[in-house]
Amino acid sequence: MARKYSKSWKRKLEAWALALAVLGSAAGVRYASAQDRQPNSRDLEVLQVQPNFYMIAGAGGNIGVQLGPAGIVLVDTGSAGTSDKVLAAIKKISDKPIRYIIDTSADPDHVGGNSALSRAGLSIISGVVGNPAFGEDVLGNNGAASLLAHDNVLSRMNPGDSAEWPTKTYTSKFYKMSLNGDGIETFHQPAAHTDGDSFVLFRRSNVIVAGDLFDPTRFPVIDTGKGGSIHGVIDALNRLLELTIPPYPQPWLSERTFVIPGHGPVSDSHDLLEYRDMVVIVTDIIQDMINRSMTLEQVKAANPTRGYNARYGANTGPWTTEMFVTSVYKGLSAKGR
Amino acid sequence: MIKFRIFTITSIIVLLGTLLTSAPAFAQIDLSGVWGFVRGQYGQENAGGSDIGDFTGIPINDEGRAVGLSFSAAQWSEPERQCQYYSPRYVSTGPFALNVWSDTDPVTGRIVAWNMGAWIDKDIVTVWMDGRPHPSVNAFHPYSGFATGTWEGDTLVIRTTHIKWSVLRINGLQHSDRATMTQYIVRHGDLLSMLTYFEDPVYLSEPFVLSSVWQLNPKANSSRTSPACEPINESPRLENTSIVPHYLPGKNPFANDYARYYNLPLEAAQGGAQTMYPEFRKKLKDVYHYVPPEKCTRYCCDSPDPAVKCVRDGSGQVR
Repeated sequence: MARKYSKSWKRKLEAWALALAVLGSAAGVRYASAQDRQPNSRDLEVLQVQPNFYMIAGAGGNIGVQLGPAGIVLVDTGSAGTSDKVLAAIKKISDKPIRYIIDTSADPDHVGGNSALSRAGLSIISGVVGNPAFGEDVLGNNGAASLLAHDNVLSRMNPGDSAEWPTKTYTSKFYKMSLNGDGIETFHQPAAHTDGDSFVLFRRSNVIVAGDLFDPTRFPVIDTGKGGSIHGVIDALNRLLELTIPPYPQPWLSERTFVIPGHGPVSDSHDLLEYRDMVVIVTDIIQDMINRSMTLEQVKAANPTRGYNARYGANTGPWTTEMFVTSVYKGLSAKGR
Repeated sequence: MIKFRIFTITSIIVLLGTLLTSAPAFAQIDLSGVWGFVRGQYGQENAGGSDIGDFTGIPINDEGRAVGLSFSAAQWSEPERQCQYYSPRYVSTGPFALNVWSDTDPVTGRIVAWNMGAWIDKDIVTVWMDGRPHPSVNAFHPYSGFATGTWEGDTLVIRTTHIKWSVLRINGLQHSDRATMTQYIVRHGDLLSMLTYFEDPVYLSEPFVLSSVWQLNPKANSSRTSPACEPINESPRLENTSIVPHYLPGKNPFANDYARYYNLPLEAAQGGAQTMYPEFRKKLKDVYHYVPPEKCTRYCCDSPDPAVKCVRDGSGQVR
């Protein structure tokens, strides 16, 4: 028996079927697009570390970005040629001006954007203060954001790149300031990666920006030509560990000090500890070989980095495993520990 | 009338087709409850702990073996290590109950995530079911790793990335922060089976495969989170936090104890992918002759020899 449908009922049923089909299709498409949504490695990446703190990756060295009512504090500026992208990334998270830039070293992939990002910022010091002999250019960096670094960074920078030079240097063990409701401490770590390395602790944000004092993408880069040493690297890693607060007693919570390394992923005390232990173990192995009067060639042949080559080593590129072993060997041979 | 039917049938076919292709979001089986640990591989992990130098059946490569042999158990006394969580791969090994619960979307009621709490020293693993992508390589690695799940039929397939560098076994074998894990979870009534493929391009040459069986047991009453933890100074020497306990290459005095104790060939004890397969026994057959120890003093309860008596002391330890 054929069932009879009224016209209005048929219209309603047609409408429901169409609506369900469209909704179902939309759900399927949404699911599929979520699966396909992967970060594009060619673009800069902005990762939120804390509510007011970000890491920008992909511009050379990692860049730390602290936000607050007074403006933006940057730690490092990436490589030359990336500044437009860095600025665009910053504008997406804040419309405030860049007030300070702190350099962790003189490496080109950390200071390459100094000039461009500084000029895009705004000095916190306005007008001529006190003695008019000290003009805007001296006190206020011509209106641009201040560039802070250890004095040795200035010494190590190329004389031809004066636009990238820091405008304010410190020579003591640390430099402190309060900004954006945060205590900001810049610590000098002598003779580590170079002789001008700093790391920056943001007390309230609970973030440390370590620069290349902690680079979990490779064995520590020890630039002996610029005053670096394995002893200084280990001292720096230990100092970072001392200041990095673990998530205990409640490790399931996210509360902890986050560490932004020179390169690689956002880290914490656990990641720092694994790296520090690796560096100390490899150093101990090479020291033992030196104690047994092994030559550098014998040490290299004995593969003292076995156990860590696949994770941190490289046979090609700017920093090979052989270069690391050589620098440690020479550093340990030159000075007993 | 015909036009109406064609339109309606076409719409329903489109809808069904869409629903079928979106199956992971719909075909869910309830996994919630407290699952008591029944059985799994590597039971020693849950008793006295695996022996130093026992890498048997673990597909480590040369680098993994080097790190394992440099391990000193004093590392566990480093103040920074005392409260560290285990890797999420330990979720599959018990011995504590596995507490599983879901998070639902407050509007649709759909399950957006499964959570697995394996209690002491293990983080809650949240398995996202909403199709979100895994984060980039620059993202933080939490203790739980980052896990997403999909349903393949009645099997929940979990993919975990962003795992922290941690121990593969507590006798010093390690896995790197590049390790990934794929788990297959199937519910059979009151039983839950879990198959884990653990892969690490740094320290493993083949996947490390673990299986475990769990039984629904509301009385296990496992907490969802690990208890709070406070580190203490266990060793005056390690109050100097710059000291890292380890053994230099070739200097680990305990490296061969396990092989000696059980009269095993060192080649087998030091692991590697080949030691996982039956062919390895054939390879050893003509070159190695098993000499049983004079008496069994450890793990005797697992002996297939009925003449070996299983004796436990008051603490449940075999003696």
